[in-house]
Amino acid sequence: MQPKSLHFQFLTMLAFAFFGQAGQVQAQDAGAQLAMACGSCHGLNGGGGETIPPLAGRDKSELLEQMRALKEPHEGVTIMPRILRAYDDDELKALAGHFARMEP
Amino acid sequence: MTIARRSFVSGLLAAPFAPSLLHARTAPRVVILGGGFGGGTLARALKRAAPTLSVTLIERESVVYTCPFSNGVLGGMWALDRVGFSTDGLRADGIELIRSDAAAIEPERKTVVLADGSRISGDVLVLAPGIDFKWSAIEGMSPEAAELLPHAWKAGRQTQILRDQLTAMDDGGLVVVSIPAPPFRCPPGPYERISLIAHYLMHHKPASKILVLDAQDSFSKQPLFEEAWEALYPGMIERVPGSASGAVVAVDAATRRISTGFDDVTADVANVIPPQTAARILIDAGLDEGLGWCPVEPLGFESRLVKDVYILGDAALQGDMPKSGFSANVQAKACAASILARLEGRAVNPTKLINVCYSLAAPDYGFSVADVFIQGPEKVTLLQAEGRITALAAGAQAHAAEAAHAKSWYDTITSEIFG
Repeated sequence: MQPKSLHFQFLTMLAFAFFGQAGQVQAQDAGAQLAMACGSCHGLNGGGGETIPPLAGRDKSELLEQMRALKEPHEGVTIMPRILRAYDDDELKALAGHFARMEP
Repeated sequence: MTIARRSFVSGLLAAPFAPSLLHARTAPRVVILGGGFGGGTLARALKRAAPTLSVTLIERESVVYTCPFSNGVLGGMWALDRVGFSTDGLRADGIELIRSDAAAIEPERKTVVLADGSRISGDVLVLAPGIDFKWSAIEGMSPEAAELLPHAWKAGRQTQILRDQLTAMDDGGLVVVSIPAPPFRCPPGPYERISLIAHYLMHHKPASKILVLDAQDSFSKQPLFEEAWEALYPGMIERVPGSASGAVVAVDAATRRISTGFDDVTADVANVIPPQTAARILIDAGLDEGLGWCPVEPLGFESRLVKDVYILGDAALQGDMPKSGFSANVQAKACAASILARLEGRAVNPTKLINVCYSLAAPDYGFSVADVFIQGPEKVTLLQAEGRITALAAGAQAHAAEAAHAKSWYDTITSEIFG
């Protein structure tokens, strides 16, 4: 009885570890995948351009808040509201996480 | 129990059908035809993600001239050098560069036959050769006629011919710009060109006129272009749309006589942009299925007709994405992810893609269309149909900012592809 229970416990832990990790990998993948398109202006490594701001290495929650705010039209901001309106909050979180993990 | 767990894990992580080619003894080889926004981006993306992969790029030019920003050459904003990039930079990441014209494609064999008859074969073939012209659609048009009536729709020598004709023209001259029926490379491109030629004329030959003979009725970013023309170049541009017989049907290169179904006009400079198809080499290989453009699936842009053959950029039927350098760049990244996933025996999930096309109506007057697309089951689909372009009456500051962003985008993307 006891060995079986331990065995079961072990499997449960394994499953948690596995799903936990898989979930994280999946979120990272989604962020990296979505970010492919951002790189065309912001740079493959998120380094930005002459007037287009860098994204790599930014604080995750700060970047997330900024992206949420930029879903609405702003004075002096012409491009980003038209793009960000097409992303839901989970996608913005995945993107913010991805850019936060990149080397600035 | 053990068996059940193993198959569970393999179902999620490992190959459901294909062996992992990336771990095979010989590195798999990807052969790419065309070193522009699609092919150049793909080569670098693959090599960066998988340095052991063998990546061969076939490009006939030693210097690639980009169509984006080539209208600035016509407007006298910068010289042709500004849009020319040596392909030498592509070797830097360990990409094998073959400088040769291609004579044919054998899709089933993943093979490109070079001009000298030698054959370059891979495990995966990616085709990004761009467009060709339907010369026969306009009576009197031919590659020879285009020396006198330049299309300048493949940047480089043709751009310089048109620029030289504009600088040689007397003040008070008539410039005719002929625009084909869609689909063609860069939907807003002809109208940006008209704007920047007008910018040049306004400053150097202000008595000159531009006559636009257009096979289209409506066009990309039309309200923004018309707003800019009214403000910047009043009275200089006259446009005849398709519904008023604007489509050019015949030309005489020697006399520069341009004919629509309704009228003839003699130009001092004529920029005749012919109707377009996918590059002839793709059509000869049957990859267009008789459509003139090549059908591809929406996840990695693999040909609908031949497995392990991918088609990027202007040559492909890309769903709702326009034929732009930006689109080709984004597609190439999705294609790289798809190719690597297949080589590793993984599946790839659909994602969202972006296209932003900037246009300049004057050096400090920019605007844009900005779109997000989803990789749907059948095609790449535009997500938001409304509010896609810069607002009208946006003001000088917004237009200056967009012009600066356009330059920032161009410098970043070209340095990442060719640098």
